Amino acid sequence: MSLNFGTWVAGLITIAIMSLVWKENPFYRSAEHLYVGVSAGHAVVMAYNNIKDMAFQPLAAGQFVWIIPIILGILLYARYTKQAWLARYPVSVIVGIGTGVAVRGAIHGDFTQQVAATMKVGSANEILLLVFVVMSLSYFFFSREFQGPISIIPKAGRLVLMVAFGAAFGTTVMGRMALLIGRIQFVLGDWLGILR
Amino acid sequence: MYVLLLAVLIGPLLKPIGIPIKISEGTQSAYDVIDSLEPGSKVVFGFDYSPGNAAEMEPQAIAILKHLLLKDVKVIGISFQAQGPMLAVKAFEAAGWTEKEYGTDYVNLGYRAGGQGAVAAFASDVPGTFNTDYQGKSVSSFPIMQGVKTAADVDMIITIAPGTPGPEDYVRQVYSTYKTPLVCGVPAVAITQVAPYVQAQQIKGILGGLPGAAEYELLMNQPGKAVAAMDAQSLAHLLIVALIILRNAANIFSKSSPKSQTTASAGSSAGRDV
Amino acid sequence: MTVIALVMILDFFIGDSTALDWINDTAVITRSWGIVISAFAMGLGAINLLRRHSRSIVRRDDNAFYSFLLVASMLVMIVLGVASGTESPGYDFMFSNILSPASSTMYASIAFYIVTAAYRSFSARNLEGWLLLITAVIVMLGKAPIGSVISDFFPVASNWIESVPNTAGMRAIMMGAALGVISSAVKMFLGLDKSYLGQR
Repeated sequence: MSLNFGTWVAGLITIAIMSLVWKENPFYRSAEHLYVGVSAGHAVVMAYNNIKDMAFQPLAAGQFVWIIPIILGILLYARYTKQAWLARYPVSVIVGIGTGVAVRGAIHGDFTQQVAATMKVGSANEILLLVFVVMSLSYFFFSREFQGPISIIPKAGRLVLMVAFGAAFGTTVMGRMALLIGRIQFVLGDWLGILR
Repeated sequence: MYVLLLAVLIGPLLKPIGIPIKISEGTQSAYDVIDSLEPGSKVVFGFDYSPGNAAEMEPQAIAILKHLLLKDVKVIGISFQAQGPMLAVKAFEAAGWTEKEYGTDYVNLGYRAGGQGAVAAFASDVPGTFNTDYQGKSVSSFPIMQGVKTAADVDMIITIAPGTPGPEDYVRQVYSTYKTPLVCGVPAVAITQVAPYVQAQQIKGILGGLPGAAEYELLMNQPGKAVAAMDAQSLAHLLIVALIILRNAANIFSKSSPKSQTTASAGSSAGRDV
Repeated sequence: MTVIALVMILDFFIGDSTALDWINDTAVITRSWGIVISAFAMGLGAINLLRRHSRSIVRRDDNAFYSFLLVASMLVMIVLGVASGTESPGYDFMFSNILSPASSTMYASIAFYIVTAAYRSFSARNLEGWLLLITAVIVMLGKAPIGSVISDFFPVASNWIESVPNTAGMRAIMMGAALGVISSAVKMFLGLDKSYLGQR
């Protein structure tokens, strides 16, 4: 059994949060609020370090252009004042950057390279992959209804999507179990010393 | 039900069964790609996981870091997840990197906010984005950072990334432009989501969840926590499968229709008429 | 917003042309500014929490004690991190022994709900449902070591499912989402969508 105070704190917090599975109780709520507070504090500290290292240090070294993002960042807090409209400027900058990089990433990484990979047809599996991709894409085609014999294509596409979702469900279960196993390893191993 | 689950998980941890573990294709590819690195190569290691999924991701990170230590490569640690730098310190220590020289053999550059935008910024200007290390020291003083200007100047990027930013963001912002080889560790939940990138060879190798970490530990001949957890993982899966079969067997054999919610029938009448 | 986004997009397509280097330079510096502004944005969440929970403490309502815990732990963390740095023993203690285990356990608790859901809710009524559940069972057994002990079919089938139908389905969703991103972006560029400014 560990004699480390920190390990005991961690162990008790683990049990407190796990107790929600039984029912909501004051220990769980206390642990939950502690977690949210520490987490928010950590985010502020990380943000402070980012601003200090990326903006204030170069500014102090004479690169005065860094005053611009600092002013824009401070303007974000205008939303708590009567001049809340000032907060739209930094939001526009962030959205502009995010949209621009997302569009270029989507075009190349998620579209053209994916199409190219689908069109590489050699083995039986690659032919099947091409057929399944076409079927799945046809399921999302809403401009015109598929009628007649070709209506089977989107129906088959729906089945392919169900297989994909089934695989996702299976791996989700796998992931959640792994996280619980990790916690049990901590409680029985690092804290209580039962596991070797 | 909860007691049954706990019994199924705790039992194999206390008394291991020793179910043999087979190495999957994705893990073998990741191992082979990392094994092909020459001594002195520079690798960027993204510690993009949080404590919430550290149970799956930390064993992956430690196993790969141990491999990189053996290969005598240089590791530049970065993070786009606020809790990443603290976890990076733990991982470097657990993998034995603290025996090496900080700043020359490895470095922890800390965290940068901004998600996908920050990944794009890093790819096009590494020293500008990470101008200091985790402790605020200028990167120009570190020998390991000499000659590293963009993502094209490193030999490989390895990211242990469950969420946002995740492997998709590295593919979109790094691989698409700079073609730097990418190896990813993902939680089990994300295996199916990144499969298209793996098939398209945008990601060269992938570790999937705790089994991926266990397989990597075996390839390294250094079994650790992940291998120890595999028996429990196997029995947990058997339990879930058994419960699903029981539930559906009860459906088939019962005369009245079950009142409980179904998994896939919810969407069958809504939306598209097929 | 449109100008910045267009600079980001053009930067991607410009090669080594020295005449248009200014676009590359503008894109690089703007992305760095984005990191600083995003860092400022991280403080907004903390301020919202402070406002909400301070009100609770002042009013001394039922949740005042928990709000006090939240505010106190947040302020202690901020003071420790800013004054002594993240490497200090106090900060490391709070990160390693409060934040880490709490975060891990929150996610781990979901496993219990999956077990009850598996017994109560995961039933199939039609072809799609059966396909989903059978695939899930094959993948669960194929990904765990027990699958290859039961039969070689499970890991082989699981690999095939992951690399063919799953890849196809996810690729279709990915491509559709990519087109959605592009169309949303164009709407924003043309001013047809101003939701990011809080306008309808």
